[in-house]
Amino acid sequence: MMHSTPMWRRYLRFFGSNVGENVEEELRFHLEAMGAKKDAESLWTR
Amino acid sequence: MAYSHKNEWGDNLKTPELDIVRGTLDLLVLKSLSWEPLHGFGIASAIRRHTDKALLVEEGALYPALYRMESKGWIRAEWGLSENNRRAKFYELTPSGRRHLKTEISTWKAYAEAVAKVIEATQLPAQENA
Repeated sequence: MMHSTPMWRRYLRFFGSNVGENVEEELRFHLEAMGAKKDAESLWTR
Repeated sequence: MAYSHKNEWGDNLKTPELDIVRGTLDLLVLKSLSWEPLHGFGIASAIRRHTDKALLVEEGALYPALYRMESKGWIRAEWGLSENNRRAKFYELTPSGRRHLKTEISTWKAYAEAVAKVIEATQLPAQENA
């Protein structure tokens, strides 16, 4: 069964219950940057 | 059979990724920050490039380590703009962090030399006198 929670949100469990918006924003940036890098690299390797 | 695997960055790996040895993540992060301030993704990318994709730092390990090192005063964080004009949190080494990095490097080198002596040994060492 597919996990309905976005991947970056699942990482928040590492930070406990008092997770601020800044942590969410930081993780979202990381995972989006990683996705963009993968997309860019796949264009070069096609 | 040849080893073939894609990691979460989409890298085609010819050899298995190495697990980061416990206790070395701080060293890798602090060293990456010794050149210039970087955001978390930049730190993970730098480690990946420096190790020819052998070491992959996962977010679940990286960010708790960054917050821990920030609380110890080894690094400080500030929000800024990324190379793509996105809001990102940049980490910078503090003078205390630079001193700690120097100690960590010495400790790691001593440890690696000791392990090398064991794995490169060609025979059992002589017995110590009791």
